[in-house]
Amino acid sequence: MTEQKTHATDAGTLVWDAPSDEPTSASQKDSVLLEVQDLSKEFHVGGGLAGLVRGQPAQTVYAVNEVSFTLRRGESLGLAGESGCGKTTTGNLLVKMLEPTSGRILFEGQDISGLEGEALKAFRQRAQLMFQNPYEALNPRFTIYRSLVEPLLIHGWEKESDRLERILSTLRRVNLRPPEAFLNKYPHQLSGGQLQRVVLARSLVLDPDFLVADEPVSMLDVSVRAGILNTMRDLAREMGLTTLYISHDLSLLQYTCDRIAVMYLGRIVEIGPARVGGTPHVIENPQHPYTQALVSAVPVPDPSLARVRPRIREGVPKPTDIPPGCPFQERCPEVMQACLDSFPPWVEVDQQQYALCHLYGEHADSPKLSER
Amino acid sequence: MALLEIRDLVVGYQTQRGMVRAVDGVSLSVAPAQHLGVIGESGCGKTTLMRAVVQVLPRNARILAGEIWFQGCDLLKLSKNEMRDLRWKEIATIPQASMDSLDPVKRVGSQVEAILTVRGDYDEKGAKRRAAELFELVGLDTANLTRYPHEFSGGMKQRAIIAMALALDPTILIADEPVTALDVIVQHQVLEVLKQLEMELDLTVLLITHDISVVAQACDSVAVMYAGRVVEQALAGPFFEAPYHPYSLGLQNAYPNLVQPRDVLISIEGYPPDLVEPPPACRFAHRCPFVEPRCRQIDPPLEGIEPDHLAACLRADEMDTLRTEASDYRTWAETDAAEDPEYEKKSQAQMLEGVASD
Repeated sequence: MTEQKTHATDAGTLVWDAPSDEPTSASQKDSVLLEVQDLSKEFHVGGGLAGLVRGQPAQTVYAVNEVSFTLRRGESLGLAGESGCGKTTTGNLLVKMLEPTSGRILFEGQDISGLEGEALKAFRQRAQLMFQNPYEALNPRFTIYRSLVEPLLIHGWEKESDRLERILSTLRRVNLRPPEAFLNKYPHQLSGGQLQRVVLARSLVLDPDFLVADEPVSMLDVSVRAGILNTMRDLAREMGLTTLYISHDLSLLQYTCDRIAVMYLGRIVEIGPARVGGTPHVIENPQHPYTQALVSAVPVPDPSLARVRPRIREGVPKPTDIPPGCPFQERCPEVMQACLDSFPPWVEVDQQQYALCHLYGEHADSPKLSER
Repeated sequence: MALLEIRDLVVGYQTQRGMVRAVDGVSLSVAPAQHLGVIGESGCGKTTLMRAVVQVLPRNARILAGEIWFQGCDLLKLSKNEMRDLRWKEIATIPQASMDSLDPVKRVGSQVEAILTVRGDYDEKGAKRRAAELFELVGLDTANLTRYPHEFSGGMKQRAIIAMALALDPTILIADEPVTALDVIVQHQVLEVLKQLEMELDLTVLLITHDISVVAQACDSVAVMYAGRVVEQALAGPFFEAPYHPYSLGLQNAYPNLVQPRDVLISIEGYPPDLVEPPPACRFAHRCPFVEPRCRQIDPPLEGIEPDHLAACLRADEMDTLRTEASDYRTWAETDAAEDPEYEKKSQAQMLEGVASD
């Protein structure tokens, strides 16, 4: 950790004139910022008039299914999984862009579902979402200044000089320098990397405590990706920001996050520390067969490194007809009879590393169906 | 002997600002059964290069100079009809995002059969048989022939697209970002299918991608493009072990590696130069941590450094010592583009995007 402090890409020169209360002080660092309890979100597909005509009733899809985790202050959690696994829906639920079907989200101990009016506004100031595609996230007719001043106006910053000062310092923080040069530019005048920095600046301009970054660099070229990731990593440390990174790219999450969670069909199937004592943990010791497959499928930029081939077949089952038992049974190379019969338990396999899998429960010694 | 040889190719896009030389003097040769990966970032000219080979360029594009030799004839001298006969039968392409171009209201099988009967010499019965054969080749159940595209997953669509590209048994396959939109597991499996087909069918492949790790998985040789030029070309093994161009070194160190993670990834600050008026010097100079005064005056030629290893860098002979420095992120904070905050040339990548999508 100390080693990474020194590298801070220009972080040493960053000036932030926010109130001087230290958000990263030891006592607060360990406190829980966000607690997610059995969070579920269903969507109804089909039905309607067309469904009535065809005699097809509406079906229920659990985009997010009984997801629970806690986020400590200043921690970064990476959410990985294939398209459609529910990772974006989870992110949207956490910032109250969507309402959950059941379950609770506690932000500093307070359930956010009941928030209204001023309390909701205050929450919105503290929990921000950063969008995936910088080319679409900004209004093309707004200057950068206007895009950044809007949140401040909405949240009642009355003095123009205060607003300008905050915008300039935020632009400086995300390494857009000199900040004055960007104020009157339009999005089309900036490159993808600069735009994504503006998008980041917009989500940080209100000095939030919690940031959900949905695929923050997937639209960018490799050469500028690292710059954005490094900036985000440094800022999170400096501001004590709690971050949820959503990405399909495990190598990116390994690089930026403290903990990694893997989602499959709406459920978290494995969660654990990204590193233990400086070496990769979940990535090097994946426990759930799905995580193992994901890890071995990630391409590595070096042909000399031998990889284990993923042993699972492609194609996620339709979320409308998930089989009883383990949701991963159809693709699992280690499937056992218990996986077909009962829902897998949540087991702490290693220190702080949990997996939703029968392999580590009471059926651990049962024969694999493939061995019969 | 090379199967496909591109010599000093220059392709420009006519824009209001002048001629944008998106491909500016590219020479590449592809041997039979070679699997060449072309790596580069947006706007480097890799897609333009591919489109020039099959001559399906946008209307405002002009081939300004160069030759493209394929099986003993210069493709640029062929008539439209002669070129049409070569496409698909000899040179097949998988264009970018082609898995989204399947006709949503026709069964996938009939779309494959259409190619076989319209472009190939198959009768209806033969086409049906061949379509089934192709589906088996790419690992798709033949029951899928009667399904519609919306019933296919992303990986299945991409397999169907590969089957269609191979329908008329081409000699060379040019694939532009064939796995970019796919999930990792599917991406891995589609690449494995491609690799297996290359072996079975003795196919020559030109794979265009921005993703250096895709090339590491699927190709036996590499060409790196930057600002309209090839800046390095080598066999995959030596390239990944010891690249010679600073840009290749930058790309390699910017890419997160799951097996051997690094503490800090490097970032190559700045953008390629404006290709309307590229500087008469090294195009990477302002982003290069190893720049010397002569780099700003001399345009380095693509030269052999070792057998089968070409690089366009004046300091390529010192690269063995510079390589260690290049893996340190601090090195990359000292380029002109990183140090000069006023440096804000409009991104070439963005301009070209606007042009090429016309």
